[in-house]
Amino acid sequence: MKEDMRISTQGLNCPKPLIETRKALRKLTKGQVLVVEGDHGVSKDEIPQAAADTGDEVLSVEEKGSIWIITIKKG
Amino acid sequence: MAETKSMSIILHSNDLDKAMAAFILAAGAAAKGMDVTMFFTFWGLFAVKKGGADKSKLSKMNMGGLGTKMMKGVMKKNNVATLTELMSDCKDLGVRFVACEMTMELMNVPKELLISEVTEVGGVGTYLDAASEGNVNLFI
Repeated sequence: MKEDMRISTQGLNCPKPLIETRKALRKLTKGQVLVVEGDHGVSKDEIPQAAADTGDEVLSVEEKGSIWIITIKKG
Repeated sequence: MAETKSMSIILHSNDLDKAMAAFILAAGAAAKGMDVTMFFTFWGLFAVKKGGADKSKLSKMNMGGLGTKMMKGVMKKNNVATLTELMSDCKDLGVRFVACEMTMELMNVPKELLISEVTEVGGVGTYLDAASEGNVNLFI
């Protein structure tokens, strides 16, 4: 799948992964794809919730050990 | 997408722990797509005075500054954002920063002494206009 931007939030604590995801999404245009990597547990659930709030579409949430990778299409 | 929700926060304190809570909530809400207004009154005005964020102290266990220093160290170790960083994030995500005009007069703090993120000066009416639209309204 085509990816337009990738950010890492590894090591960051609440609420920075959420904030950095939103800041990145704001730089994209509708239909573009953002991949967010991180390891902050709560953010794995909160980022998809926030994406729903802002009308963006979560394409996938993958987990590799303690790392999660969330792919979001900007709405 | 659902209708845009909004939040207002009155920050009345410049204690580090309370200001942290306020800016974390504001940035988090903005990241969730909410319209956020922060209103800085009384001691809260000092949180947005130039250099004020660095002078904030813990509301408890400050121990002459030692407690605050330790807390800042622990926060850094745990990769928790600083107040200054959160303020900048808030601005990037479009949070409105409103300084209380009456407090500015009482405390003799002109707008030039406030951080550049503060773009508005207002009163109770400004706050109430925001709060009456708010889904979440907090006093911290």
